[in-house]
Amino acid sequence: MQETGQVTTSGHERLNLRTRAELAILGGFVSSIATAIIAIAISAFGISQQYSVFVGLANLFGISGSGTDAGLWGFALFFVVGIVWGFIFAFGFREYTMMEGLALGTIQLIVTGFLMSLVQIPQLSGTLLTLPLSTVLALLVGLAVGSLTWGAAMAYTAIEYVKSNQPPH
Amino acid sequence: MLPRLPLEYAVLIILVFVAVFVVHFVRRAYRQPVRTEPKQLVQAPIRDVKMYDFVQRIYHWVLFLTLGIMLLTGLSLYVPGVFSSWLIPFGISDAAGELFWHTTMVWVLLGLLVIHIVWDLAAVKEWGNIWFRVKDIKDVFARGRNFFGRSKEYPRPGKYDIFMKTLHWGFALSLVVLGITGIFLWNPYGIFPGINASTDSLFRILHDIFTFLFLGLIMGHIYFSVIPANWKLTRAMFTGSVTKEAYEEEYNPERYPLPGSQKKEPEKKQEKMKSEAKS
Repeated sequence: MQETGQVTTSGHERLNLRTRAELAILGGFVSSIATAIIAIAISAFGISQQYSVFVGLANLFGISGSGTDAGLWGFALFFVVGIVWGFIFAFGFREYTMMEGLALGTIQLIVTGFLMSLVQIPQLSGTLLTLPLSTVLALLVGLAVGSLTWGAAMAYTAIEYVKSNQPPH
Repeated sequence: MLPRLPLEYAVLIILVFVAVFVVHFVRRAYRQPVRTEPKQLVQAPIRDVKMYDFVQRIYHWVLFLTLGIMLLTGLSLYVPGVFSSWLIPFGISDAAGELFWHTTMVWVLLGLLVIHIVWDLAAVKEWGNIWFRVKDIKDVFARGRNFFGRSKEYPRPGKYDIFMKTLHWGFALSLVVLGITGIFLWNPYGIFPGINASTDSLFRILHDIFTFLFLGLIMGHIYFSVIPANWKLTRAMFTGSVTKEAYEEEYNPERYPLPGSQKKEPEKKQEKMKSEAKS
C-alpha cells in the first residue's frame, strides 16, 4: 500500500495492472457521479422525456416497482454498472484518449438502446421500437448526453492517471 | 406547523457565503500572489508526489455523492415542491420518499465516517497534517494582510493550509450537530427517549441552521476546487498525486515533508545538541 505523501517513482509509461484496476474503480465511480448529475439536471430542467432513470435501470435488472425501493436499488446498480464499464475502459482500451472515452460512451448508448428496445420499462408505454418517434428521440438525446458525459469523464481521469504515472523528467 | 428556520434567514446565510466567494474571485481567481518563502527544490528523481491514497479518494467521492443526496432530499423536505422534479430519477414523488432516502443515506454516511477516522488516523496518519499548529495562526494574519494589499508576505503552508483545516473542522462540527439533532428528530426504531416540544423546536432550528452553514462550506469547497489557480491541486483528488513542480511551488517541505527526507528523532537530537554546543 502506498502511504500518503509517498513518492510516485513508476518508470513505466503504461499503467500496471493494479493502477489500471484503481483507475477502473475510481474513474468508473467518478464518471457515474457526473452522469448522475446530468440525469438529475435533465430531469430538473425538463430537457428530455422525464422518467425515473434509476428506477428504470432497476426494472431492466428485473427489480419490479416504481417507488423509492426500486429507485434505491437502481441507484446502487447504476454505480456498479459504471464501475464495470470502468474496467472495460481500463483493460480494453490502450491509448486512453478522449476519443476512446467518447467511443465507449457511444457503445454504452447502443447497449442501453438495445436493452430498451427489447425490454419495456414499466414507466414507459412501450419499448424504443413501439413508442412514438418524438418520445424515442427525446429519450435517446437524454441517454446520449449521459453516456457521452460518462465517457468524457472516464477519459479525463485516465489521461490524468497516465500523466501522473509517466517516468521522471 | 413544525418550527423551521425562516427561509429568508437560510437565504441570508447562503448569500454571505456567496459574497465571500465573489470578493475572493475578483481578487484571486486568476492572480495568485507570489509565495515569499524561498522555494526548496525536490532533489529526488520523481515526477509526481503522492497526496491521497486510493481509499482516501474513493472515500471523498462516495462522501460527495452521499452528502449530495442528503442535501437534495433535505432541501426538498425544507422547501416542499421546489426540488421535486430533481428527484424524479430516483423514483421519489412525495415527502415520504424524500425522508426514506434522507434517512437511508445516514447509514452510508456513518459507515463512511468510521472508515475516514480509522483510515486517516491509523493507516495513513494524517492527524499531524489536519490539526491546527501555532504557525497556522501566524499564516492567517500574513495571508489576511496580503489579501488586503497590506503586505507582500505569503507563506508556504503544510499539506493543508489554515483555511482548509478550518473547512475540514467546520464540516466535522456541522456533521456532529446535524447528526445529533437529526437522529433525535428521526429517532430510528424508537431508541431515544421522547424529547419535549421546546427541545424538538430547538433541534429543528439547529438542524436547519447547520444545514445551510454546511451547504455554504460545501459551496466554498467546490468553488476553491474549480478555480483555475487550484486545478493543479484538484487533480490529486482524481489521480492521487500532484506534480513535483506544484509541490515545490505550493508547499513548505519543512511543514509537509516528502517521505525519506524526514530526519529520524535521534538524528534531530544529535543536530540539536551540536548546534547548542556551537552556540
